[in-house]
Amino acid sequence: MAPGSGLQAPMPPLPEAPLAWLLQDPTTAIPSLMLVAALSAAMGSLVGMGGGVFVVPILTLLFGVDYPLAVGASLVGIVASSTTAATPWIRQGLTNVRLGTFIEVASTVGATAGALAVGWIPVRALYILFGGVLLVSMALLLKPESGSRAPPDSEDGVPDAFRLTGSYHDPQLDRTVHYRARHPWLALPVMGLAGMASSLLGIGLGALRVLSMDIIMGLPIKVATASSHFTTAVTSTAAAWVYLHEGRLPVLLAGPVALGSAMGSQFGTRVLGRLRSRTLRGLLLPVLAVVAFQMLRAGVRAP
Amino acid sequence: MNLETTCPTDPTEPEDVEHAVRSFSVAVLGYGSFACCVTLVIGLIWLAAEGGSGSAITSIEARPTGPDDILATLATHPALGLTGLGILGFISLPILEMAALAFVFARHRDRLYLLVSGFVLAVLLVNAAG
Repeated sequence: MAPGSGLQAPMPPLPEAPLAWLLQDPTTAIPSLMLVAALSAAMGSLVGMGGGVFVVPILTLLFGVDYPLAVGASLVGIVASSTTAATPWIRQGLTNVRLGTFIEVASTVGATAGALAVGWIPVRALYILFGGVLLVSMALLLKPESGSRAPPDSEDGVPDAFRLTGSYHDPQLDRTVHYRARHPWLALPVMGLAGMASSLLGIGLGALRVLSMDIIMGLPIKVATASSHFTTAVTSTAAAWVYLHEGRLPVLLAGPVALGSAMGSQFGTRVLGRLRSRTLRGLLLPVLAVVAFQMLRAGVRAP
Repeated sequence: MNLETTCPTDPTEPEDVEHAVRSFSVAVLGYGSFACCVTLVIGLIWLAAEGGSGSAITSIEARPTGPDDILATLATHPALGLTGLGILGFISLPILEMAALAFVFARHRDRLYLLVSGFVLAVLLVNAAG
């Protein structure tokens, strides 16, 4: 397939894109895009959903960027923020490397399939899918946090060949928590679908991955979160390379988004992390609801 | 049931793997992402300084670009090329991480996870090769 080709015709910029003029001049475009990416990554880290949930809607609805190009830029932003943010989790020993690698088998294949399929899916369907997935993710965020809990029963008949076990010290419980992943095979299709959705929508889908590891595999939230960070960069990379080869990863768009995302995720982790509370999360949820509604509306109104 | 009795009988071996991966991740992801950020900062400041209409930046609406274009641009439009190089660097870091992971599993004779990480690495390399 020729670069940039796809079955659907490129969707023209939405007529009401109010900030499209900012992209006409690099002197305003570069700082604007960096600021958008930085704020998105910081806010995304606050709700545990990554910056893509804000970057893609802002680029498409406010800046008038074509949807696939916005997703390509967002994917690079996810890689940049994940690679800069993953190191502390690994250093703390919360990341289960075997678990992350096991999950990546499905998520990288799913991400590759999604990136290859994006040119064949009508853009309006992608807008609607984005809004729908965002609403589902919000519903997952409203689920009460289970925090550090007792390890699950281990005798579920699953062979221990994959050794998806581990332990970490939980300062809240003041003890070492041992865990073992249940039903790893059941989690693989979910992770594959999450990888595909991630590459179609340009969002990390961290909340969905973490919840899957929590519900299906019975892992402690801390381990699930750290291992999800570990896999996000690899999954997004698999998709980003396809986007690059397909001509859907414009340097002038992705460069500022990548740098802004890297800076924003650091800010979000180090500064906003101290402010994290249910109140702040509650304040951001209505914003996410508006974003989801706007994306659904754009999908319905798209030609 | 207390899982403390059902955890791996040889806990030192996984910890060796975790420690090796941890050391590598801190080195490569930490320094690597810093280098990519510095490259992007230089490239973007250069691009913004060039500014104005008539330069390649006016195609910010997004001209499709491939990896070959990015590398070739280093000679013809260094500011744009440096920005592209920063992006290529970022999306290459997880591949390096996975390659190191496969190496660590191979060194610890963990055949199962060598296979698993090798599969993921193969998918990434195929995608990167286009």
